[in-house]
Amino acid sequence: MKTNNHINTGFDEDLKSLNNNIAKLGGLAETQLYETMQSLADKNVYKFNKIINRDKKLDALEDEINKKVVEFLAIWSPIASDLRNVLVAHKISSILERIGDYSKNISRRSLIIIEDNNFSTLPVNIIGLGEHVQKLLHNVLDAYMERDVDLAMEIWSQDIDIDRLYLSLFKELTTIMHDNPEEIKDLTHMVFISKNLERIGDHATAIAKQIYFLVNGSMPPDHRPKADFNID
Amino acid sequence: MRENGKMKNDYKVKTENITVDYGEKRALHGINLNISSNEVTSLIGPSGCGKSTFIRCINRMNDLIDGCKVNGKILIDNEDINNQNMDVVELRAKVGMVFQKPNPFPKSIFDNVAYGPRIHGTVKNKEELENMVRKSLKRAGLWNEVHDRLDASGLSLSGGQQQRLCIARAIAVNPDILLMDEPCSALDPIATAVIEELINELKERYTIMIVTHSMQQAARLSQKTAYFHLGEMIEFGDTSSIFTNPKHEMTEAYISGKIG
Repeated sequence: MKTNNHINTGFDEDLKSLNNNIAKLGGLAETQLYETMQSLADKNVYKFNKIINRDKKLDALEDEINKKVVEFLAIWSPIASDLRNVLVAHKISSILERIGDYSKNISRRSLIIIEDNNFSTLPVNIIGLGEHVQKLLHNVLDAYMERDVDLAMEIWSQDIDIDRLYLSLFKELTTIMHDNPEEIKDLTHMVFISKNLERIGDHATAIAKQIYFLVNGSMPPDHRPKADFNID
Repeated sequence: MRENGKMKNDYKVKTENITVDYGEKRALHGINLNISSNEVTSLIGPSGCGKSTFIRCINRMNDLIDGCKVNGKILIDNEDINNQNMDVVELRAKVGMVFQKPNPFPKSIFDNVAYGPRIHGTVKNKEELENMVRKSLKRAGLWNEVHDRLDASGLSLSGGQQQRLCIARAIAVNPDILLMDEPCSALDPIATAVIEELINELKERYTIMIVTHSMQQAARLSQKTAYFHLGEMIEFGDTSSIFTNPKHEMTEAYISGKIG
């Protein structure tokens, strides 16, 4: 598709400003997740409050993007790929804000777990799952900035790996719970942390789907592989 | 035979390889476009692209322009409108036209609407004429505003009312097709909204082709859209597809206001 400039230069300026804000929000969401998982791995309690407080920045930026989207639609009445650009920016900003919320929630739970100090080591897979999800988020944001549908579809099909890691972790945690009932509170927090990471993976996949729509004007065919959610 | 899920016979107007020349200059290069019954079809494109020239072929208005030559086949209800036996006056009653600038006659509101039925002899007596004028004004959404002043001059009405009077005048001779050449370009947003609402109602009875420079208007009003550029039809399809996901780069650039 041609990426010719618009005759009204204000149109391109407003669109660029909107996309810059999405990039900024994406960067913040990535930082939140990275610092959360890093602090959990290092058992660094001092970082968590900073991460929790920083979530307000993501909320404020999402509000600003929403306002800009409304103004953009009212002023420019975009159509075709321009309209998709704005709609997708709106959708992705809301997804990124949710990802921020999940990181905040993981930080809160991590703080409790570490302060309780009832366990010696974290299940290795929880950090592994975190790394996998971070990579997925990083790549999907790259795909969005580059409008790279191939990369987006690759990410879209990788969600199954996250699901499998989560299921394996879930089983591991419930087994530990069974053997160590005195740690059930912390282990429950870990189950929620794992679930939050799995949800961030789902959101990264949702961004990938939006990239496909942005470029092609239609949704991808829904035949991606899914994990068998047998959690008995 | 089916085309785009529609029986071919459903086409009200079929055009095959239409070319139009103004002297040495070719204005249309082989247009093939079929228009479905009881739908609104928008023609969009930059000034001078040939969209007005095209709709003027449908009621042979181009015959009135010196040096203008139309070639190709135009069928309305499968009848070739350029055949020698075609009564052009009858054709123009069947294919009404509304222009960019409202152009009521300097006559009363009543006489503006009654003009067509009188000259075409489509009514037998005064009562039928009055019924036709009332019906046409109602269909044009103007009756409630003028019923108590039918003797007033058509020129005393506002711009939007004058345009609706012209629509009433066009439909008073029972046309099948209405051609509209930028019917709202001289109107304010309120009068435009009234005309758009009217066009939406009129498509139940008539097949409508509208030339417009407003992308939003084309998107709001029409079921099909054709994009013209330099005398060629670049893309034709469902309006919803054209305005959300056009297939041709030139269409995308034009409707999005991009430098082509």
